[in-house]
Amino acid sequence: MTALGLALVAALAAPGLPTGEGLPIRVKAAVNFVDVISLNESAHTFKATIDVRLRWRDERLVFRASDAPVGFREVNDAAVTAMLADVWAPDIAVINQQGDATNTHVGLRWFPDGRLELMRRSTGEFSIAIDAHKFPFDYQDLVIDLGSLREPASRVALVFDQDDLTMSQVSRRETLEGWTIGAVDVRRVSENGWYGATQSHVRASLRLARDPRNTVGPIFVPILAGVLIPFLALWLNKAVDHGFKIEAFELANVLIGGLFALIALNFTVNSAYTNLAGDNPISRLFAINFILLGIGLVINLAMFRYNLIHRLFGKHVHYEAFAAVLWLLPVLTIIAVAWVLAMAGA
Amino acid sequence: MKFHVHAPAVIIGAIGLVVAASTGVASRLLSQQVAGVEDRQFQSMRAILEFNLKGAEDRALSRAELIAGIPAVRAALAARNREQLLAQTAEIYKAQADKYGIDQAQFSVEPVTSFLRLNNPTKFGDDLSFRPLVVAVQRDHVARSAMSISRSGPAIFGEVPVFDLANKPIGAFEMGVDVGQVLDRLKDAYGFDMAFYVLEKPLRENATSLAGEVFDEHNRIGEYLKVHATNWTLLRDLVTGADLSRVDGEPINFVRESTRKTYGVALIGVRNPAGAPLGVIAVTSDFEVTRSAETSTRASLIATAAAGFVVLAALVLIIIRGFLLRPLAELQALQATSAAALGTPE
Repeated sequence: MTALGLALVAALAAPGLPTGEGLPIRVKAAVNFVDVISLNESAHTFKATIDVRLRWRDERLVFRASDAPVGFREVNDAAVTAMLADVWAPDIAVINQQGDATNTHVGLRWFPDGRLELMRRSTGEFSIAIDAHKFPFDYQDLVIDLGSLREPASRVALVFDQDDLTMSQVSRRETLEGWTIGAVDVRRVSENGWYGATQSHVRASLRLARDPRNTVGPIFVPILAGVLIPFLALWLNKAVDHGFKIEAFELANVLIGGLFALIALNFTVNSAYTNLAGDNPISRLFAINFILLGIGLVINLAMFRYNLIHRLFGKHVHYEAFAAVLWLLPVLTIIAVAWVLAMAGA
Repeated sequence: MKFHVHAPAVIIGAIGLVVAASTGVASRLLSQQVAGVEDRQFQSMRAILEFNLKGAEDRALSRAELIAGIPAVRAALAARNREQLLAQTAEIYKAQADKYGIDQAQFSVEPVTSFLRLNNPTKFGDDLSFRPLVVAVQRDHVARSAMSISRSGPAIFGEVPVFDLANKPIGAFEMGVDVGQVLDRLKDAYGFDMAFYVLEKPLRENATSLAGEVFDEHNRIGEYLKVHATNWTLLRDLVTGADLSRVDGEPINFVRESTRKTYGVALIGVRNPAGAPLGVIAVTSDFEVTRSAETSTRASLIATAAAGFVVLAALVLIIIRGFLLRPLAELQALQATSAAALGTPE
């Protein structure tokens, strides 16, 4: 017989779905986050050790209770693989796992009434979506997405009960630096399958809240220091009867130097935190900084170089306009920064 | 009044008042709108819960009627043949329990005595006079449904009278739907996290067969015990014993934060058929979107108003001082100098 023929025979001989209780077969799923090892925001992945428990019932596997004095039979690792070759098991995988899991241990418990409990502990890397629009006051959800690889929801339905919710927790809460570990939320989700069918998923999400204090030194202090540069270019000067005390050229140097420093800071921050590409508090603070430098350059040219206010409105308006600019710009900047921070906390 | 001091101050003050008043009115309108939206959300949450609890009562009642109407069941109960009754109903009950959330089922006979518990066949013969539902149905021979606490714990019961083949009343039959399963299904469908709390005193007095872990210390919240929760870590954060104690007749709604996320919490009191308080069901929903939108809008409103105020204040100062006060002051100074030079009074 050819290899294909042997494979066909094996497939036909494989145990079918346990349909004694009708369809869909209800497979109860639970996920325990044993240890969250690391979070790689740039790669949108996290590494963790998880326990996945699947429970279902196969009425064909009923046996006498007296044959199991402890209440169940149990096999581990290689013996599980051997047993599962002869019995039906749900083809449930962690859909968002990247690569192969390591340190995998498998255990199977088999109860007299035909209930089976498959427990798998593994360490792996899992992909997630990072939402940085509230960075650094954001929270992220570490998701483990369990789903059936082949069977539609009409044949295999992933469900959970109170027991599964009780198991779906995080074992160690102090492990991830820079983050506060929250609660695990479990939800059932339907995903589109082939030919209009849906596939049943259970998603366990562990919530992490970022500790924003870690970003004060490397991000907030340099950005807020950069805000002072255009103010410095204004405060250093002084209005006199026919113009200003300091030449426009000298203050333009300060502004252009500040501009290049800000560009370098922006590049450094975006390189270190690649998720900050879109709209978020940090990009808004940078925008405020760039706008202030632009305004500073315009004031430098219009007022210090070409003395436009003096020429158009006279020396008195020239004095008052300069005096107003000295406090108006900083106050508007404080309002803008406060708004950015308030929106981040919203 | 000194014009050069008071005029700008009065004008700026007036502008400030107008801006503050407009901002205050807009902010208040916003709060009212958000409160209205959240009120409707709370009403929806309560309506969905009450609808589903009523649905569970109807399911329990319809299943109880079906089983109580089976002639073989009626004959077995009439003959007070416990073994025959168990043989007729055990498989039916098992299917209902495995797949449809039926938690308990019990036959009772006069005078309000347990005859057979399908969920616990070894326990029977005890007095059920503490069960208002059983008492009422045996007395009136009219089907009823309600939530109550039995020896096996709280459930949503459908209780029907049982008649022998000559249509003479011979007892009652009840089926109890697991409250936890109702809550789990609501979480599935609507994403609400929910918890069912029962008053400890009646639970301890009546549910003598209930598993001991319900009475663990970590399940105690004030005078209540948590019997079921879809996310206990979250609910423990959101609902305190003081909150549960405030529930008396009318539902209570409030908004609270957990892990930097805002939740709306509705506490709905549950009573037994005699009208005595039995427990509380807490329903939580994610209010993050509404609150986030409110905070963002309010922050933008205040920032825009503040920025507008300072810009207008600066313009007033520039115009009044630059075009009016400074030129006047210079004219007065010139006048004084001329008068001094000519030796004539001003």
